[in-house]
Amino acid sequence: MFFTSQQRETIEALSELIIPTTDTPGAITAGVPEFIELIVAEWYDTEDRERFMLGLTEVDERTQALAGVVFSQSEADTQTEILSALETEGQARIMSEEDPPTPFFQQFRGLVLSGYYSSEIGLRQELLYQPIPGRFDGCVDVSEVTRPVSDGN
Amino acid sequence: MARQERYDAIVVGSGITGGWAAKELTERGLRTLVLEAGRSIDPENDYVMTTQAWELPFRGRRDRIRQERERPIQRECYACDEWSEKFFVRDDENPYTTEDGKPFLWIRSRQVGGRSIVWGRQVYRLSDLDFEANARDGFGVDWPIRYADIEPWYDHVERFIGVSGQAEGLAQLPDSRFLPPMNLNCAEQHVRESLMNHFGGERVLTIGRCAILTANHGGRRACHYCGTCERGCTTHSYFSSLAATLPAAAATGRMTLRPYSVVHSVIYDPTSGRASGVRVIDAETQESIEFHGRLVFLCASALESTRILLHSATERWPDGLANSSGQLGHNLMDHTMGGGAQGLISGMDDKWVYGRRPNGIYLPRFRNVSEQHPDFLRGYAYQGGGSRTGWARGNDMPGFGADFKHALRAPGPWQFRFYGFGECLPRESNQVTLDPDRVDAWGIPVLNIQCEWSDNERAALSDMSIQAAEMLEAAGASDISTFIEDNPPGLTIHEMGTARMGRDSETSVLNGWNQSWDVPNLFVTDGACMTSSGNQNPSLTYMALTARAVDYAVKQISDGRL
Repeated sequence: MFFTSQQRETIEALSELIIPTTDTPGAITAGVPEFIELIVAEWYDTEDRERFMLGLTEVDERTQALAGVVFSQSEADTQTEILSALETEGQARIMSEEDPPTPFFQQFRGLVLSGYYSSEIGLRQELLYQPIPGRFDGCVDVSEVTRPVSDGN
Repeated sequence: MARQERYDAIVVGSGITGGWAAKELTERGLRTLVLEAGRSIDPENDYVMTTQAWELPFRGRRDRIRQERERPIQRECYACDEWSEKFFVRDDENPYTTEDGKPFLWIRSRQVGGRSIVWGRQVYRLSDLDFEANARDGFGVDWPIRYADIEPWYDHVERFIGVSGQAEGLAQLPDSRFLPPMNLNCAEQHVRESLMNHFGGERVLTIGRCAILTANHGGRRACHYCGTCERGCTTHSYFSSLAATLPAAAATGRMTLRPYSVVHSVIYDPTSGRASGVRVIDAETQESIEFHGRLVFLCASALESTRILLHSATERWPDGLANSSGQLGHNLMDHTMGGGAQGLISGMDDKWVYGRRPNGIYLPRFRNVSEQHPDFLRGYAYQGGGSRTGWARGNDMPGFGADFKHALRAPGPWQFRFYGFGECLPRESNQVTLDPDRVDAWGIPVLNIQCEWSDNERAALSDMSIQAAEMLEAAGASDISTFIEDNPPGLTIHEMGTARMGRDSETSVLNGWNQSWDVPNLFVTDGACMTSSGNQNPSLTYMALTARAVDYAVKQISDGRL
């Protein structure tokens, strides 16, 4: 186990906020937090890992300052407000700086997306699962293929 | 004392050319030994076609840290992913050296089937525009053959492997014997028509020509469009030696296939002036074994075949066997890749594709076909195609939450990309030699590779990106952006040359039949033989030359000349 239980709770809350449970399961059910832990612990290089950990700490610090509790304990509105602020700040940095390191929100959301859409739930329930399509047609009506076809990755 | 065994013919390598040599030799009655440096592959157990991302520890991202240790070079190839990395060599066992600042990426497989298990499957004929190229502008030596010499052998190979594609009647890219073409998608059809209107017949966008079956063929099944061939295909729908030529050779009862057989050198008999066989190191036991045969076919891949010859130096040829010309190891080529442009195509938002086509578009060479471009010689062609973006565009969209998640269910805009592949001039200074200071895991000296692009290749890359943007503009694309990638030689994995064919023994290693000028029972039929590179994906030409060389060699034997 790489993360502390508090870090894990923050990651779970952030993941589910980005890909929530709707008519299909969300990030937590799809195992996204476990995937993020694996990538941060065993795939990231030192620089990416340090940036991730700093960003994660900052999420809880900001929530403490704003609401007096850690992120996972805060109200839904507070969580959304903080995540929106992180997104806006990150986007501003991407627009204003020449080739900046990926800001925390964008880094985290990237992990959630790749973890969710490579999970069994993401590939089989959220996307249209066609492991063996059997034919190729280059021009069909979108209505015939209602969801993005999982690309096998 | 080393063990010894005798055969009619020995084929070194079991990949795309070794499989062809084995098939053609055994079908002509020769008892043939096929030596493969790597392990056996069992499609039932080794292919990972049905493995899903969630079944892999890193979900397809690959184990970055282990790959950096074991495959720091191979991982540069897109196909060396978490599914398929086992089909590529370990770099720590198979080193080679380059000079600082002159990288060359040598992407390799050692296994029964070789790289034909993970190849790109694109197949294009060369034309006389290519076979006459060296003679026309003076780079390299003249090819000893012309299109008419190889045409029946292209037919022969294509009939067996199965090639899907669309006949276009272009002189610079002769049509193959085609199975039905795969469809262009809506965006590609639109770009094809726009280019027809704008450039007349000069720039023709066609579906990629590929060795993937669109109909059942020769006991192999039509493609099921799962889309990731490089994981291995259990229905054998794309051509590989493992799926097609090696089984044909085995069916004759005359093939002996020996895996784990690292060829150390060719044995030369000065009395007869012939190659008497090869010396092998058993990769599992390190035992040294000799195999003898009347014919030796080197099909180990361009640089491995040349490495074996360099390591087979004799008193008569101290710089490598069969090297009277001094050209062995020289004139290394690869194709450039990565000049191009991309843009968005509007107006087809209600259309999409069904299935995952393992193939893209091809836009054949149009430069230096009828008039000379002021900035560069030779030409280039594009691959690429149209597609609608998927969930990954979420990384560039604002937002999160339920609306964000549901927005990613719809496909994104149609994008279109032209990605160029260019010809590389044959230059003597691009070369391989044996590195005196380093050996591989079997004690065999490794190659030192010196290869650089020249201004001619760079000028063509630049033109690729400009012309790609111009064509996208003609097709009404928006948000057009150009790119010129800085890919080192080797990464296109079309490495070729270093034992070129030619018209005389003073300037070439092989004659017009892929036969060594110096050692008449020695043939080299993989990419090492190439006299120029063209800009087409080369495997089809290697296969045709191999079949042609076997036909010649066996006739020479029956005529009593070999």
